[in-house]
Amino acid sequence: MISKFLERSTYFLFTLPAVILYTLFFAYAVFVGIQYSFTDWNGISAQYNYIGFHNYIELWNNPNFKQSLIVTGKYAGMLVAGVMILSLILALSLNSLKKFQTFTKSVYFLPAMISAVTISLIWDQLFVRVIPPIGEALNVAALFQSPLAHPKYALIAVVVVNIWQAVALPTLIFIAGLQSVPSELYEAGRIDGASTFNRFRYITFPYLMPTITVNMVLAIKSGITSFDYAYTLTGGGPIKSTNVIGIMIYNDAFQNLKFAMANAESVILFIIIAVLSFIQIKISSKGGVH
Amino acid sequence: MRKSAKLSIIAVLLLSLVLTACGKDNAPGNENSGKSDSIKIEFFQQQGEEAIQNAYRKVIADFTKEYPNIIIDMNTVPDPVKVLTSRFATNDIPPLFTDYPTQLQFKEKVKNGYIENLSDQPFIKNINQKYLDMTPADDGGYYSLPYARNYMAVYYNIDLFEQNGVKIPTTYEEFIEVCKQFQSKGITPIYLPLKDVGHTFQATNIAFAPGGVEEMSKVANGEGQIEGNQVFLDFAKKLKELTEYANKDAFGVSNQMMQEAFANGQAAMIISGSYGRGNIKLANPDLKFGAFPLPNDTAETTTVLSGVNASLSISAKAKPEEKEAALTFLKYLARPEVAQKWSDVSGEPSIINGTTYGDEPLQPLLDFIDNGNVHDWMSSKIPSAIVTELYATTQGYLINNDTPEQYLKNIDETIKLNAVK
Amino acid sequence: MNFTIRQEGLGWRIIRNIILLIGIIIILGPMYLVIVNSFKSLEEAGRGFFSLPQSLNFSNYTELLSKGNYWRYVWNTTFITVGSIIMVLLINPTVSYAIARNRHKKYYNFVYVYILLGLFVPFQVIMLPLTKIMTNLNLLNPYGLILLYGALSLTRGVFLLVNYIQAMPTEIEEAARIDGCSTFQIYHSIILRLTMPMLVTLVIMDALWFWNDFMLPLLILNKAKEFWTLPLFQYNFKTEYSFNYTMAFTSYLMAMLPIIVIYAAGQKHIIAGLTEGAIKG
Repeated sequence: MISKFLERSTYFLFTLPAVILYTLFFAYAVFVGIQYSFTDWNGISAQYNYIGFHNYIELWNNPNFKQSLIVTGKYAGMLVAGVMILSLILALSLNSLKKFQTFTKSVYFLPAMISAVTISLIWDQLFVRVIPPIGEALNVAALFQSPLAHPKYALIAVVVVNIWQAVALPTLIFIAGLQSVPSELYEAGRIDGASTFNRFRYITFPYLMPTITVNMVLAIKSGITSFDYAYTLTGGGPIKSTNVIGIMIYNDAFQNLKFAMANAESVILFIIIAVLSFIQIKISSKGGVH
Repeated sequence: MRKSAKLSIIAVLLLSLVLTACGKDNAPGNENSGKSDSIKIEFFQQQGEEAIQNAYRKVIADFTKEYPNIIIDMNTVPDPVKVLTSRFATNDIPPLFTDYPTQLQFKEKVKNGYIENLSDQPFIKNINQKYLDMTPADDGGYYSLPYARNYMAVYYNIDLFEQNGVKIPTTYEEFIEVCKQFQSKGITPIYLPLKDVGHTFQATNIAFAPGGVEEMSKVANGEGQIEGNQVFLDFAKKLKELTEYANKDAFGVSNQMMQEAFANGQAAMIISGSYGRGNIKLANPDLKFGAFPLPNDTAETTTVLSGVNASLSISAKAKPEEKEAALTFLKYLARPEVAQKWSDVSGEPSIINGTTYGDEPLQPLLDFIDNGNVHDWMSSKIPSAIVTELYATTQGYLINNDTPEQYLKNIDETIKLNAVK
Repeated sequence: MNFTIRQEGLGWRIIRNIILLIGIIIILGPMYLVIVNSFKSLEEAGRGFFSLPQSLNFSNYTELLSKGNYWRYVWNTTFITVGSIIMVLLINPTVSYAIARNRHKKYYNFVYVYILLGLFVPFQVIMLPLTKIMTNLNLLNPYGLILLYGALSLTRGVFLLVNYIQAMPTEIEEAARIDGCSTFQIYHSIILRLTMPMLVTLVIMDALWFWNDFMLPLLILNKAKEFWTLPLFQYNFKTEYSFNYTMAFTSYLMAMLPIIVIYAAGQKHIIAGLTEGAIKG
């Protein structure tokens, strides 16, 4: 009896632990978080009131929030472009490497092993101790200071550090994608006299499409929700030039006594990511080989 | 049956994981169930500096000798301000913690009944009146034991001053004169950490614009404006003038790097918080340095930024026996001889009556603080959210090389934008 | 894949090698600076930041080991990482298998969409509510963190595994069922084996996340130093010994060391595992 019952409900039982844990520790938390965004809770008071969309309206009129969105957009844009282009170039290079392929691959994957905080702390030191001497030696005024000190270059510097680590995993995924291209197709392309670029354009690229989607979705998400690098390297400065949404949310929630507002900010972030991912998946599902 | 056996093993595994997790709570404070006569309480201590941690460790060790049944478990975490906020937010308040009683955040916590009222405790009378007066909550009660004071002042390299025959300036004019003297000799006069411009902004604003904090507080309440304020214009010009005598890479320099550079003799002066002293000593134990107030136009108008350092408070939500234990510890800490020992080890000037400060070259500054004009940190009057926004505004002024007039306009805008409506 | 190599011209090979070489310098350069400076005193580093240390001076290391409870943090991080990986392996493949084979049924499709939606939620939304839930459940300890990681691993795990299992042919399963195997036996002896490449990929990605995570341990494990993980230890160093940057470099290196050792020992398998999972996914 028991065994029959178990057999019939195995699938259901399989879902149970996951559904319970996910509901308790994730869905419920999201629900509570969204709920807070409609209150005036400052984070520590015992009482709070529901105030409808007030936080959202205020955010709409808040130039700091807009500025932060723009910074985040630039950050994500640079990160996605940098990661996608670099990892594709590296994957093509690594994949065609004959000697030392294992060694080179393991060097390139090394940054993925290290935590974002460690990487940021290391680069913070390098920016300060390596760049100014170079600037003085070359007498380039822009390099007299750490790039993190300059509102124009700080964001780029932070993104560069982020890319330094973030390229590793997409590169591997691209290599995997490259290896899924049937070799007969290249053979055929060569016989037809297609140029290297055309072979890439018409043979490699369509096969890479699914991997491009995966990498793109992950890169967009990590770009928009980024926090660790900017927080450790600049704390959002100078003059807020690196004040990404992640930092704004964190500071509002834990420092500025605006907890409910911080939740409204993160709900907006959620909507942005969802919309972008949806568009991305729609676009990429039109082309490519599945 | 095999399959169901396996399935139930997984279920049991999962369940046991949950149960052990719930049942076996290793958190300090709950471990005293076995021994009924001994109690362990968590002491959430916000200052991570090595010297301060050591001082507390020593004092706690002594305390345990006297009260063997009370175990004080000091807990210091990275990013403590935010961790403490999250613990209040989640109703998981440490029974004993350090916090900043002059800040509006703290007063908010008091208002919500999270913190034990200490007004009737005898040790309140042992505290330096000047600092005690900074700490009452909105209801006039005292909710913490202020233990040390901090200040922002000019630290100067005694050897460099003596070698170059430079005297300690007492007015702003003399101060600039000193800067020029060092500059002409190829010595960086003043090392500024403009990556962490915050405390430099606070120190210079309070020094050069007496009453400025109150003006800004008014703006936050929707009255008046900073634009066109002559005192602020003077402050803005002086702040910019200071940067002319600063290190070239100032905008990339953090507080810690400033301390390091000063410790290595790379500059004659820095504007530093008292908290920098320990680091400088550790980086270079042989450096001789003293302190003087950042001077305004005249000695009479010179004001030093000085406030209460992290003070000790007891959670009102703690269990009675935890409160009792925490209170015993506070009473012990407030003894002059204990405070003296703490001050000697930490290098922080104590504000318990009957203590003396061990670092002689810094004593003149403390004397000035005891007898002269003193102002508390900005966040005692203005919400800290606005204060940190002003840091960015100030950074913008210096980096973009805006006019002082534009800077004042920006200050107004920043305050209005971030004021609580 | 030799065919590509034969076709590539000399020009491309030269450019490619230059690109790869520059990349290696950019990656190993910072590592070099961290390593050499961790052996220097502050004063020596001040004299030459780029040079090799004059002697192998381990004083930074001994001081660090004497001050922090380093081995405790290594143990904690290992415990949490291994525990969480066990959680991942217990709950991810089961639910993914159930979903993949029953997508036509409402409940399973709902569970799939329900979990996938989590992919879009930024961590900041749940940060504080999560801490609150954990506090109420008295789970502010390593066990609680392991449960949390298990739950949070689901979005990516289900996303990758369901697609993977759906792409697998069902013939073997059907044959096994005719032979009288139960669903659990099929899962246990067939599915787990066939999904192994993807599971390896998932485990490596998750293990790196658990090992290096900073924010969740900070929020969940702040009750006592005994609970700390390596990232907390290392971040704390920033405040405690910030003035001493060669010491800081030592702490970065020590925080990275365990995972680098594991990586050095198993890099072939790690990279192969990651690549294989991705190919078929």
